[in-house]
Amino acid sequence: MWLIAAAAFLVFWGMNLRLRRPEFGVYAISGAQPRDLLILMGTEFAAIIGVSVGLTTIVVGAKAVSTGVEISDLAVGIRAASRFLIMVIVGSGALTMSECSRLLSSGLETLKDR
Amino acid sequence: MASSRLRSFASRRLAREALDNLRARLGLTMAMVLAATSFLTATMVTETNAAVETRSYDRHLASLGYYILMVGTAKDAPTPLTTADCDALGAINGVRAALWLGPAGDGRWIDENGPPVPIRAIGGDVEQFLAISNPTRVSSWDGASLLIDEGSVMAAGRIGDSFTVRFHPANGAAVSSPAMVVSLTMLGSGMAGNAVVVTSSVGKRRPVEVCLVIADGEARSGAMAAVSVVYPAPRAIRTGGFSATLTNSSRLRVTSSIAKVSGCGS
Repeated sequence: MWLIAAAAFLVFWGMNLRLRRPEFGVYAISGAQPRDLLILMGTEFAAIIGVSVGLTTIVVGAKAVSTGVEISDLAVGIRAASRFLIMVIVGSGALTMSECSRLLSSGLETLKDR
Repeated sequence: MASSRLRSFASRRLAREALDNLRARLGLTMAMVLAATSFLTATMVTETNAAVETRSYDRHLASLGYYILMVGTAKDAPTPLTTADCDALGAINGVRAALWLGPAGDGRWIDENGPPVPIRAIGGDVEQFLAISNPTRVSSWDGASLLIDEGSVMAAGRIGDSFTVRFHPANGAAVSSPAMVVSLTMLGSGMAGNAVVVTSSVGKRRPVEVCLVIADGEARSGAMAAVSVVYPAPRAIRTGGFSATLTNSSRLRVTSSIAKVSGCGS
């Protein structure tokens, strides 16, 4: 389950990067450094994941409290969620770095590819 | 120094512009937050619910008052378990029924285009198993060769009595078979909704996937010890259910067991 969910999220993240290509492309050809681009993309990703983890904690926590789920059962879900997050962070990081390097190496060419 | 200040100024401008752009397309960011939250929540809820289901199954078995030992073949075992091995386990003192389960196979209900129904071969002490898991229905069992779990689509609207059902096993011709609706969950939580074909193992010796040893609760330790004597090699690998972790032999890895918690069923 966690693998399927992570793969689906990576598809979403890839689409997001594709939609944002013109924006980051403009930054790149305006002289932004690789570090700047990575910080921008990474900060936004961290914010998205952070807010999601917070919301999930609230939703799942409320459900667990209302249904009286045992801690050991909840731990199974937490383990799966951790695997999902690790997979998503590694995968999204790789996708983001690849997009970033493409923009920096041939920003104009990448921008033309619309 | 000058280039460093210039760089800092450019970074600040970049950050400001990025923030402006972020505000301008807040919908996209919110969609990403929603997607991540949905996937994360779905993963957690699904996995947690699966764990809860398994625990419920364990408690159901424990409430029946029996201890179930599942004996499978370890990866490095020189020979697979056979029907004869499972039959032999039935002779252990305190064991009420010893069954074997063949590998899972797919079938179709009615004909080859009908609804899919997972079907396994089962053999051994089937009548004793029915007496334990379906005490009110065992008297109506007339040797029907197809046992259908009450959660199966084939069982809809039928209770107890034997009836004829037509099904189409994979790699085989369609057959009409007498069938009876019973509860198969005692064979494992994955058996809910399945059907099993009762097969005689007398005089045959063929590989099986798992032997199921159903023992009285009080006979738990004795049955486990006896199994470890029968299979001193690392061949018996797991038991079904419950939270207690028991290891009574360095060679027999028993990960959990069903404890008897009430006096019924003995």
